[in-house]
Amino acid sequence: MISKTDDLKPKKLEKIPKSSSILFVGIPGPGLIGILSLNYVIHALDMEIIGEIEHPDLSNIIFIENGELYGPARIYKKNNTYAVISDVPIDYALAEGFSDSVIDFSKKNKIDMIVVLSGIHAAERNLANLKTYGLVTNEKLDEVLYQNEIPKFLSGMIAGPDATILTKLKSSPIPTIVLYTECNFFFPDPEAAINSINTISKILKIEIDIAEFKKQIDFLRLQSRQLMEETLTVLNPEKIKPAVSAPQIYK
Amino acid sequence: MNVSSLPLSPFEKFFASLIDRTMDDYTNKELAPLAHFTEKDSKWILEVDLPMVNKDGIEINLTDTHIVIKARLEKTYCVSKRDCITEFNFFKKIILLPLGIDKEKISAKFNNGILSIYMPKIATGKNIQIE
Repeated sequence: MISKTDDLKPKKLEKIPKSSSILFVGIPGPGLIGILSLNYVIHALDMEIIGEIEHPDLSNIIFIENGELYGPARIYKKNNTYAVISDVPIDYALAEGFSDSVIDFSKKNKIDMIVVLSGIHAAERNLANLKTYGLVTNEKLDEVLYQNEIPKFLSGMIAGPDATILTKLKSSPIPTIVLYTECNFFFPDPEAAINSINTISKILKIEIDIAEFKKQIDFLRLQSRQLMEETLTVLNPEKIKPAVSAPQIYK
Repeated sequence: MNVSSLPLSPFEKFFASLIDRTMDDYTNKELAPLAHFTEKDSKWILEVDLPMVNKDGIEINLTDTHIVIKARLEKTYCVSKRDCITEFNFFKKIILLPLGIDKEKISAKFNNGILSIYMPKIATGKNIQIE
């Protein structure tokens, strides 16, 4: 359990950017959509790591690259685009503290909009017709959805740690969009994650080449099996019933 | 083609780093696929995620109590952990069957790397009169 949100402080923060900025957040969730898509965007945009989220509950895994140690929840930056990504599932106990940390980071860095990347179960998943829906915490962001042709998530139910994070972000002063991409809830779904990448591309108004991603679809499905299993343990799908009714299409 | 012989991009390196949290059987060199049961009114549906697999390479075997799924990978999948390289050529999963299914009517489909096995529930039995 988290008793003090002060424990969750981003470190090595850079100076506050002068112009508008967007923070993308990706954590392991349904179909691993958030982490698959945001990891690729970080790679494609050549974003640099600028810090990490520190917390005792996140300290049981360390990643090592070129002899350097990295925690599982890291912060990346390129120009005015930021990304917070967690390589481990965020459970109920951690969700509130994690959200506080994201909000705290956003305030300090004058983030204008937070975009959370997630997945939603598609009962009859049709690859040719997968959609990414947007849920906004502030009506002003309806325009962002409209401009980027993102259908609005109008009705349904969000449960699990995602709901805790969303509740926190809803009560924060920073406008937030949560992008829900239709996917296979139970298996890593890189094919659906392409939709999420394309939506990020629209929001940032830059071209993100997905050719490399497409080549690695089978590899990603193989490599991320264990992470998917750990994520399902956290999401506890037996209780939260993934078969949320399909959202209506925003017109 | 050997998957691990390709140079890894930073994007791939992240996912390669996940192999230390493995659920695979290194002794028998078998990968453990993800699997999920869904219960419907009239049947159980077992879905098994089998990337890098062809329909012809899948064997499904029923025992009294379990279903055994073995699938050959189209490419050898190599995992390098420190100085040790392990080659995997198969997925294997043994799953306990739900009770009350009609084993004679089990059917399967394979689409987009996902094996779906349909297990109808036994719907016939003793009639009960309403008083």
